[in-house]
Amino acid sequence: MNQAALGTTRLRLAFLGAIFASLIVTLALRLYFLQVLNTAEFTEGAQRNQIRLVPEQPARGQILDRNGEVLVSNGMSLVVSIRRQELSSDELADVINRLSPILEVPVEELNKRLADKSLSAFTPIPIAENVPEDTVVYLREHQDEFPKVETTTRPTRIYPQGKLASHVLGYLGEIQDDQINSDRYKDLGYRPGSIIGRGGIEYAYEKELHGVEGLRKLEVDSTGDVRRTLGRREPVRGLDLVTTIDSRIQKLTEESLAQGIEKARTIYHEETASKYKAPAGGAVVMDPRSGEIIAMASFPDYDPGAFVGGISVAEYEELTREDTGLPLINRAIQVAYPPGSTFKTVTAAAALETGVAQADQRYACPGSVRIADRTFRNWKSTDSGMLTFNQSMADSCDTVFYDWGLQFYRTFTRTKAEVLQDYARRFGFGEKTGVEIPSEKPGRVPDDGWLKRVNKEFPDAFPYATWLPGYTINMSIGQGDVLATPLQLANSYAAIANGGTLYQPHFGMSLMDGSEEVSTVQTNEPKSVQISPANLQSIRSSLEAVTTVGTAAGTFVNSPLNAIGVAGKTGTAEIGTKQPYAWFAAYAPARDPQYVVAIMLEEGGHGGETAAPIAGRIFEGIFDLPLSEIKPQAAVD
Amino acid sequence: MTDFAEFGSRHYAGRDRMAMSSKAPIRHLDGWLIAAVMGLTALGCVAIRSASAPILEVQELDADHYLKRQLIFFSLATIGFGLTLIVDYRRLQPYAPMAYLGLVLLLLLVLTPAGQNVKGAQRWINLGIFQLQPAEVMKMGYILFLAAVLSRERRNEGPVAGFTPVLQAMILAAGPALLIFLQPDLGSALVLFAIAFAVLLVAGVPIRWMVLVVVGCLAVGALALRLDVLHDYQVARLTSFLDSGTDPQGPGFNLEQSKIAIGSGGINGKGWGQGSQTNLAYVPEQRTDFIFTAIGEERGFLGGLLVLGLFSVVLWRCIRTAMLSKDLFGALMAGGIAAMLGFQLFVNIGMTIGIMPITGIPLPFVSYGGTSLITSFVGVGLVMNIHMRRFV
Repeated sequence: MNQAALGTTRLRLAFLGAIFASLIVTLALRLYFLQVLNTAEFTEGAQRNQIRLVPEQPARGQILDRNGEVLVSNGMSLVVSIRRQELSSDELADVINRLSPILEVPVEELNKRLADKSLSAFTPIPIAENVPEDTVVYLREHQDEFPKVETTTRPTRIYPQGKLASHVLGYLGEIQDDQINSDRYKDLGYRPGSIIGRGGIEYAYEKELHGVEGLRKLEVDSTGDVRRTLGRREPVRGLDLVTTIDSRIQKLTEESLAQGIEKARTIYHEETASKYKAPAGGAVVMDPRSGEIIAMASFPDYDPGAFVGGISVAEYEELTREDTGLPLINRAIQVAYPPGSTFKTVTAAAALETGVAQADQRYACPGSVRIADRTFRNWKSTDSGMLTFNQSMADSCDTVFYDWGLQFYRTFTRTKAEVLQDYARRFGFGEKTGVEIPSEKPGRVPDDGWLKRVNKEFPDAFPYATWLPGYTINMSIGQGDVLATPLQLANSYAAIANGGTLYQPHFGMSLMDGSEEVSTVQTNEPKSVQISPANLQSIRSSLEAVTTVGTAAGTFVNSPLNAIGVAGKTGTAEIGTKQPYAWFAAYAPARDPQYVVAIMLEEGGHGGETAAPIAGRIFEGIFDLPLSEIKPQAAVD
Repeated sequence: MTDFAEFGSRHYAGRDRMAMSSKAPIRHLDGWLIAAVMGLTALGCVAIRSASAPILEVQELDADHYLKRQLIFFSLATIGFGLTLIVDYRRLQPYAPMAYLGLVLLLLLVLTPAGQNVKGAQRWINLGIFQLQPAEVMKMGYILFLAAVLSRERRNEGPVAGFTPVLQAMILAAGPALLIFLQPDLGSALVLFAIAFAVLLVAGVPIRWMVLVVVGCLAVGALALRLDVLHDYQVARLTSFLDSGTDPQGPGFNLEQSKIAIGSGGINGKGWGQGSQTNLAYVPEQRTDFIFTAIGEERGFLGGLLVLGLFSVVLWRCIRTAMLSKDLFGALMAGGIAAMLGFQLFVNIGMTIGIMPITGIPLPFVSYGGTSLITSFVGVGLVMNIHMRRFV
């Protein structure tokens, strides 16, 4: 080459060299950016890749009755899941098509489960539970045909006693997205898909029953195959909960309630010209000496086993429909009703304590009284003459209580003191009893403040802002706006029975780790109803009169129970134009109270007529007397 | 830039005082070039072992399997390198058209049932000991022929002028590029155009024609994207570096894993055999196209700089040789080989760190693979040949 050509060529080569130099500098700068400036981020990414934390579910604690009988235990359910993110959509469709006939689940249903947005895309998606073992074996043997399909086990609940105490025990379900970070759950380490108690004791004792999740730390390669186990934290099984429930009495209570409802449905109700509908009812059995709930029943009930392995939408709708009687609702605590005449114990206590009434005096019991231009009728229209305090209770004479109610009203107009409300609250009405299981209703003790509040909020439903005499008068017989749950009522009778102590009703007795007791369940400090022993005694003797000569005598007087002694009070509550709601609350033995029973039937008749016989049968069972068939009695309050 | 020329002539003058035998080619081997190439190959061998051993161990196979094969390729490459040195490169010029045509025929053969198909790509011809990848060799054939064509007419008359050489370069590139593209191997096809660009540049084609070449190539590329000439996966790979996806099967995921591997290496790296990304096979094609991720993860930023440094030496020596070459043919060849190596270096490492599209281009000297290693060594041998004979 000549010199000029050489010069040009060299210049151009130098230019080429400069291009290379700039490319190499670009690469170096980018490497500096990745490896020096941002290495932390990528280090984390590498660790995330490499390590897979596989949770191991702990066995959930069992729920036992007070005698150690198992109410809920654990089983293992075989689950088939798919690592959906590791398959292309074609491969996935292929696998699903092959799985469908083997799992006997339609393709559409499988796709629906796979599309569940609540599950993290990076965890295996469970598509079938309670899979038969044969199927699992087949899938494992043919793993090649089912890439990324996994079979695992998952603890489930077994209910050896079937539907027994379903409302109390509750059921399990997957945690919902918005629950994971709620105060209640956020420190317990739950993830989407975690199984938690969704009602009853399962919910209330979630923390104790759940145990501690185990964790396996695995090193996995890019195909998800495990190369080695890096570490393992054993799951810690949940504690067993011994409850206050007595399975025998629980069963007895449920049977008696169901039988009583069945009988009530055979009775003709003249005013509505039809038989009692008695769609639902609730029953509570408590120990008045401690607040322990020995049995709690709600009708209709449901099978908690249906929730095992996930309940279908259709099944759940069935359980939450009005026309199936809303079986998930626990009538013993989740609905508040007007307590009717069972509330007269409160009125009586208030009257005795404030001197409005004396236990040794007589009171007029006309068929009706006229107060402030309104007529208030007794439940029977005839004049019963002058009644003793005991007779007034035994006969449940409304007009006697109207008079006391009127006097409370006058006290209110004079001093603003709301005497009846005060005593209602002393017996625990108007606030939750504090029983552990969720969704308890506080009921209602209406007063002047409440009326003004609701008048402001709902002027259509509550047009008057002024507390009228009728309100107190109606309340004196447990009508008007006063509302109570069967449990509240049972607890108030427990306080009468035990000499004035209001316990926190509870189901939890102790927590066990295997056969070793870890702790006893603590309850709130009991409160005193602050009523003189003498007056409580007067009320107790009047309640004995109810079952011997009064409105409940039909059930008890010719029964072997008479020897044991049952004290109680009937009630018949009116709600608008509905059929009457039947109530009965009682305790026995009358002179040494060990059991309180409260019964409520929605639109099931009169207290003495249908509710008391149910309690009678329960007491028979409790005291090992021969069980009689429930016989409806005369339609008395 | 005249510095280089002066440096060259001073060098020449110094040597001139010695005996004539000092002009004997064998006395002018380029130690720098040999050292850099050997360094890269050695680094590659260690990285290949590190990237392949864990999987082989899991499969209970010989952990050194790929290392051993690469060492065999290396000995073949050394032989090829040696053979390349024997004959004066200028005497190769007449055979350039034959070599070019022969390789085009081989590329055609690959597309027939005689070719081997691996993972949907038809790129290989089985030679028993290893699978020949004609596309790799084609790059060398193209360089040889293009340099011959451009330098023959004008001998040492001065810069190439006019549009004819551009046309010649494009036509000569288009045929083999199309055949390679059909395999499909988009990356290797593109290398031919990078070579064309460099050779035309060195040959003295006016800058305006060079700009036209670049614009034309970009236009063809854009057209290819629009006209569905490319397979979906090719488009996805080409564009994935713009937007890293989360589809674990997709190219975006591969890129993300590649970046994680390199980024997590930090300054010093995790040490050979210690990289979790490498050991657990998170990076695809790791012993071949993605070999740089193993070095990046296990030897860190310093390891990466070492690779770049060694390549800088290689490119520097190639360009220096081109400058020293007594004739245009040698200068064009050395420049073309530099472009071949430099382009592959940039595209390969660039794709592992997310600044270039993912194309199946090996990292010269470092990636596992017989044809690539041998071709690279033969290329460097040619440069050495030119370097050795700059006085004769």
